[in-house]
Amino acid sequence: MNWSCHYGKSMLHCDNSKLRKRGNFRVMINNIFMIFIVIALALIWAVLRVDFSLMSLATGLVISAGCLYYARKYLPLNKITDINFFRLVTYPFYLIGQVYLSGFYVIKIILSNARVDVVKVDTELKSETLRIILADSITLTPGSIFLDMEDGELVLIWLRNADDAEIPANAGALLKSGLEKRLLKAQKRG
Amino acid sequence: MQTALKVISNTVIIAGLIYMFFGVVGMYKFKNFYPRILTTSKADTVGALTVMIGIIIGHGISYFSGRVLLIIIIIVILNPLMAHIIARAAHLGGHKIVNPEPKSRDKL
Repeated sequence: MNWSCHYGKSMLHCDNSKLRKRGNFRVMINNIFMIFIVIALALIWAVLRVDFSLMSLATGLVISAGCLYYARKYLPLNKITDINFFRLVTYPFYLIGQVYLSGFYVIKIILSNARVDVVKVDTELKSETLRIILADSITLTPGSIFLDMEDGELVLIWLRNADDAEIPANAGALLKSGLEKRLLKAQKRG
Repeated sequence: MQTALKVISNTVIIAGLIYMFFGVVGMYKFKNFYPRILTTSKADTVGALTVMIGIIIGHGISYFSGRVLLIIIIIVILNPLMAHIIARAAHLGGHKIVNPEPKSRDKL
C-alpha cells in the first residue's frame, strides 16, 4: 500500500477511505506549505529588487509560482518529518569552517598536481533528507562533488594529489569529516 | 573604529579575490573536465562567500548587508546543486576521467 504519494499525485493507490483521508490531509498540508514557499520566494524577489510595490510583489508571486510548479515533482515535501532540525542549528557554522579548510587543501593541490578519482562512500544516515544534506555539504566543500547514490552509497568525484597513487583507506572518513556525525545527531530514531 | 572595519573588510575581500585567482589558475592548469569543475566551482563558492563577507563587514549592520547575506544563502544552496548537476551529466554522458601518471609534474 503506497500512500506516501508526492505532491501533485492523486491517491490512486489508496483503496481505503481512512487512508484516502490521511492522504488528502497530507496533500492539503503540502498545498499550504507550497503557498508559504511561494510567498517567501516573492518576498526574496522584492527584497533583492528593493521594491515593495504591489506590481513588484505580484511579479514575484507569479514567477515564484511558475518556478515551483515546474519544480514540484522534485520537492520531497512529505518526507521531512524524520529530522530534528533543532539539532542542526550549529551545523551551518561547522560546514562553513569545513568549506574554508578544504579551500586551503584545494589551493595546495592546484599548486602541485591533481588527479581525480571516483570514490564510493558508505553512510550510516537512514533519512533521505539527511543524505541529501550530506551530499550537498560534501559538494559544497571544495575538492569533492557528489555524483549519484548507488545502493545506499554516495558516489563522489574526489580531487587529490597526483603523487599519491593509491586511494587512502580512510577516504570516506576524510570526505565526510565530521559532517555525518553531526547529521546523525539530527536523525530521529525509529 | 570605522577605519579598522574598512581595513578588515578590504583584507577579507582581497583574500576572496586571491582564492578566485587560484580557481582561475586551476582552470588553465588542468586540461581535463573534472579537475576543472572541481577547482572552478569552489573558487565561486569560497571566493564569492569571502568577498561578500568582506562587503558585509565594510557596511556593518544595514539593509544592504541583509541583502548581501540573502545572496550568500542563495549561493550556498545553489552552487553545490549546479556543480552536482554538471558533473553528474558529464559522468552519465560517459565523459572519461583522464589522470596524469603518478610522480609526474606538469608545468604551469
